[in-house]
Amino acid sequence: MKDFEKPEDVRIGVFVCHCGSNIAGYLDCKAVAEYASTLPGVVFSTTNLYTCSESGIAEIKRAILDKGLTRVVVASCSPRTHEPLFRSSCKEVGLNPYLFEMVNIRDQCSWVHMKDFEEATEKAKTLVRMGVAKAWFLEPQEDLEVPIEAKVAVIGGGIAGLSAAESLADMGVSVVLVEKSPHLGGLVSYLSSLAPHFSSPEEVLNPLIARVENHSGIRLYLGATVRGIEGYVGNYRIRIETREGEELQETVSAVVVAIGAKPYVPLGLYGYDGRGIITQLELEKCLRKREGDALGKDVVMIQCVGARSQKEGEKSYCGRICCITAVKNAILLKELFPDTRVSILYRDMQTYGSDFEAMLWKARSMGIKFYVYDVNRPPEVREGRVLFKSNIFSDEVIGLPCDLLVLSTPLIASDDATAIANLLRVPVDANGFFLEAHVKLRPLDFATDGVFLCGSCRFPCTAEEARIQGMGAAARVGALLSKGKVVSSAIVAEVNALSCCGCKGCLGVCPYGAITYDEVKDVCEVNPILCKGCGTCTGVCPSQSVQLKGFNPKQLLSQVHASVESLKEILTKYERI
Amino acid sequence: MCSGSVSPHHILRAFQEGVDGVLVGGCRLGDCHYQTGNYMTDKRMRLLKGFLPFYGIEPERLRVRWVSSAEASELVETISDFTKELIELGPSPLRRSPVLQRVSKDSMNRYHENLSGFGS
Repeated sequence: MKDFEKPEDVRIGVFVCHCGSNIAGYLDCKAVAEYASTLPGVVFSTTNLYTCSESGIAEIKRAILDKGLTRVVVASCSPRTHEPLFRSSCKEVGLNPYLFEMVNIRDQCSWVHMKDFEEATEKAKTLVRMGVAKAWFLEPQEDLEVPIEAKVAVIGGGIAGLSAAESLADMGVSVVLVEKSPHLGGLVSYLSSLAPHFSSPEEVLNPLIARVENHSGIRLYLGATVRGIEGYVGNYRIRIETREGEELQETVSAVVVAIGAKPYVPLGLYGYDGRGIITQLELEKCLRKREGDALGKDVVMIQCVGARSQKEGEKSYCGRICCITAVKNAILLKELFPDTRVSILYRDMQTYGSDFEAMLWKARSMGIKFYVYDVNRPPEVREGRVLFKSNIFSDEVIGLPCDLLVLSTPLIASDDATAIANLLRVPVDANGFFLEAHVKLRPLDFATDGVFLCGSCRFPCTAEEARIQGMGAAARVGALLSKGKVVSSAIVAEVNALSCCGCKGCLGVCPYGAITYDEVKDVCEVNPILCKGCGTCTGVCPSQSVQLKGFNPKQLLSQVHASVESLKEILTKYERI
Repeated sequence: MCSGSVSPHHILRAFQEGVDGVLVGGCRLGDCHYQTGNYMTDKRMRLLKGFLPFYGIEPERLRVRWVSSAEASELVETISDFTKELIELGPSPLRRSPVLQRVSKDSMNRYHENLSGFGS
């Protein structure tokens, strides 16, 4: 603990926010500010209509400069939304941002006690007193800066991974591309053509693969497996097992996960056998070889097989691209073999966007038949015919002759998703797809710093979308690398080596593997870059040797003391003791 | 900050200060923002609860509840219920018994003396 100032030098400023009427409507802000001015260390206190407004911020800055404040306490809303703003305002006028403390008298006080003005005011006073008590013991902290090298690992050589690798290499970043199979291209390389413009997959893939293979900035590992990932942003160490069975290690600053997805195999559904009853992907393989003709004149496709279902072993989600795939393959069949009769049995057609919708209408105009089936009475396959009840209001059974039955199944999470998720400590959803940091704001980032995702391992997407996401993920990595360093929060745990007895209690509970044990010194140590500041280690340390910066026992217990003292005063005041 | 950072030190200190009850709140189990912190809290609080009678404090005075930050009404309900039960339970033994009061006061004073000398 640093002894950086004498107690008499502590000069605390308190700003009580009205938040319009959100706070001021339910408690006496002026009384709270006046009360604050009586607290030890407080040399300035005031109220603002909105402390977060331009004038409120200006007042904080002015007070820091004019009154020589060494601590700032704002009593207002949630630190979740406004703490960064107030911290940076302090920093702008030269006050260490970690000498700022926020008190939530809105969400936790005025909004809860709307019916009792007096009690709400007393509680706000107590909360401010606690904040001031903690502020007294705050210490300046420095954010951690670590230089990073422009080197990235991309896991997965499908279209998403290839696009990410290509874009990154074009930025001058060294790329390590690891692909499990012996060739690049992923699922797209098995397709017959790409919706909506029926371009050939080779047309898209071959130039991309050639650029990636010949790029001086890309090191390729084909037929290789990722065996281990350790480290943190700026320093991920990846253990790769090569095709030859050798194990080697690459150190990179960031990781892009692009391991794709795999098609659901409808075992036990509609008599699937892989010959006369096949999946769309198997049909694609036939169409690639122009073999569709051999398969028969009457083709029936069934949508939502194993998808949008609550049945055991099936998937509850919509596969997103299966409708597009079915329409595309139906058109292709019809174009290659014009006298084929194609029918599509569906629940809802999901052909989003103008191009895919145009494709659907093209299919209709070509004579491809679309029938709705009732989910509660799914089609039956019997003696070369598909029987189903189309109209939910009648029991009329339609029977379609069928030489080839094609089942539209969704893409499902890759077999490797769980292993990769465990290695990187990133989350997957209930279906095994990777979970981004924020679905709208950070769709290509993981919550873990320096790890990104793109393509169908996130959720089933088209080749075009996979490429967009791959390029997007590369841009996100670029934004990280272009700074040349990473800055991480100073709120991390720290071990006092003098009092630590090396019991390793903290080591076992750390969710981030940030703590190591030094056998020579017999103490535990925290890696500040890995530490996320949860404080779980501090909760178990019997000697309080490991402490969280900004939340050390002195700071927290001063709040406990302040709250109890305040409570005693209130009880005396109201003669309830 | 995680419920995982709540140390038995904090809770015992609060009882020494004279509170009648301590409520520890955390994210729902399985939903921990910091992956596994609240499971550690669960374990630790169960252990501490077992020890409380040893300090002369009824275990009911320590409550652990998993309420997410999005469940404001549940949190209000939890606190209101707990307050009601604490009123029925009466003041904490550390406030009631003069002996315990003195012991706890002495230790508090020693602690606060320590606090002031902490920085140097």
